[in-house]
Amino acid sequence: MNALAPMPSTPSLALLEVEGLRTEFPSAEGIARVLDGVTFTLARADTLGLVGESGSGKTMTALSILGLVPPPGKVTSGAVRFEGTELLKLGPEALRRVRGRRIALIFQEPNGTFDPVMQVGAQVAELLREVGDVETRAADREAVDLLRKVHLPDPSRVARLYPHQLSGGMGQRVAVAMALAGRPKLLIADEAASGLDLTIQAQIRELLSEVQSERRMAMLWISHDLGSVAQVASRVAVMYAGRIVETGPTRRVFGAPHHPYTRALLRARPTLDRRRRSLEALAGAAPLPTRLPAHCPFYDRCPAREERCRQEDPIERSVGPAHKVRCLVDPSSGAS
Amino acid sequence: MPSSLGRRAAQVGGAIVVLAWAAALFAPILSPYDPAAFERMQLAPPGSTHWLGTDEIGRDVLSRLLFGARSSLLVGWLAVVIAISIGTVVGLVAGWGGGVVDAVAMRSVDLLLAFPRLFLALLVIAFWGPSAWLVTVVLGLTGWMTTARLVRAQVLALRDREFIVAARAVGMPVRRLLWRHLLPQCTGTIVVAATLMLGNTILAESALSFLGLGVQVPDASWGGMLNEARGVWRSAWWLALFPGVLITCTVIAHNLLGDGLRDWLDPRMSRIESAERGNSE
Repeated sequence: MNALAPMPSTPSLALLEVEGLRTEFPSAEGIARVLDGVTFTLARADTLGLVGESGSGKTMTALSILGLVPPPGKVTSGAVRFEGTELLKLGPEALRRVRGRRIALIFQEPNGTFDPVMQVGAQVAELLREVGDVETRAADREAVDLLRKVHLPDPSRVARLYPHQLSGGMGQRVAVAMALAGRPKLLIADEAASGLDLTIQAQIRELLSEVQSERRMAMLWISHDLGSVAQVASRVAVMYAGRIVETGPTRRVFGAPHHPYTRALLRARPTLDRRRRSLEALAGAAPLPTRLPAHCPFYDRCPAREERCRQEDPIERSVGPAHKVRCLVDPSSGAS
Repeated sequence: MPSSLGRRAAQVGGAIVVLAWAAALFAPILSPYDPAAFERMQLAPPGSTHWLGTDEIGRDVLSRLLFGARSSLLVGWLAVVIAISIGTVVGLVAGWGGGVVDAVAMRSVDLLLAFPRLFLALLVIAFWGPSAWLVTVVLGLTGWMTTARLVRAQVLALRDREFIVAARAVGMPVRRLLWRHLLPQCTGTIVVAATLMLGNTILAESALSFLGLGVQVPDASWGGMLNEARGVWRSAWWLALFPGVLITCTVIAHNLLGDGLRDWLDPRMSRIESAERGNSE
């Protein structure tokens, strides 16, 4: 469903390049390194799926890119280049002008992301004025147009509703409208469809794909739901313990996973067409961000571990066209 | 929640506040006599010519009470407007800014709170000489700390709420975020703080005028009238009773109104009706 867009005008230049991103929180138990060298690139109009279990750092990656890490957390090293600009070096005001206008972020639980005491139409209009460079007088009308664009039925009525009067699906559509107000080039959707019922999830994905191809917008689709990632993303990055352990074209990563963690994730998801009755849950837990080991962080839980895995931290290596993995072990030894 | 009782009390309070303002505004029309004029009759008890009697030098008590309402309300409300404005801005900036900004603002609050308010007022008045305007400014400048603390607490509770983070994530400027999204959530707090402060401030104005440091003769003020009644109130009870009752009623009325306004203005309550009624803007 996600046809690859024609080559962008500057083919070599990625829209977003994240390199060695490290985000840390000082805590009583020591420094919690929630991001430990996140590296990935995202091309114009492309979609990258970011998957991983809770706490692996998916949301923190999004917040770090936008400079919204809640204090006392801080991005301590790394680079985030967007359209050639280093975002980590921008001042607060310059960074604010990136948010909404270049990169927008939408969250899970849309109805919590609106001002509870303001009609949603007014909130969309306000954003259009602030980041969409729409004149004050035209803003209300354009807000209704935008709500129509995200396929809300009777948009002028919806515009007059307060957030608590919206259903989850309606709320996420309004959230999409607000994210589009500044005509961003990149939309980060953090679990944007999770928590909605399945038909609504599919509708939201469809809506995003539609606006994405229409506006030639890239998307970072963050989800723990591998199915939705397979639907939406042309490329996928798998996160574990604050780092990306495997990345590549979605078909390759899901079809021929290299990293034992990716394989475990795929085995842990329910399917209809398999004979297997019980799901294989992965035993153990990810290392605490305050106690990241010097060796491979997946070692303790890894079914394919070898002695050398406890001695060195694997660096990224290529295992196929655009397919990279941070694992020392050759996957041929394990069945997948 | 005793809502009907609370609503009735707030209505009574509101009615008294409105009446007091009406009396203050229309004092020149309503007053039967010139409040500063000396009549022939001194210490006349309440009767048909002077409804609430006259004072020691023969001025009409009713007229003076009506004009006194002007001093009390104007000084009280202006001082509160000053205090609320300063307190809100300080609270917003401290709560949002955090860190050093917050520390400096809150330690200043602690410092100012350590001084009794009337003492500060006396100090300033001793230096500049008594006047109604000075009292207004002093009461305003010494009254903002509680509001600052309340607003700061509210901002701290709200700043990490998802809708604030989400608004930042789509590029909402901080100025607008504070003004349009955080401030309205503080309305309830601010209104309650303001009305409670109104009662207090009116009382403080009366106290200062009673001490002769506020509104100056020949202008009338309720506190000043109480002061003038000091020597003779045993025989001329009306001189002390009426201003005293008015001060008490006005202070209580403001407090009742404040409670009512809080219930009504709280943004988390009863927005559904207005939305369903609502027309497009």
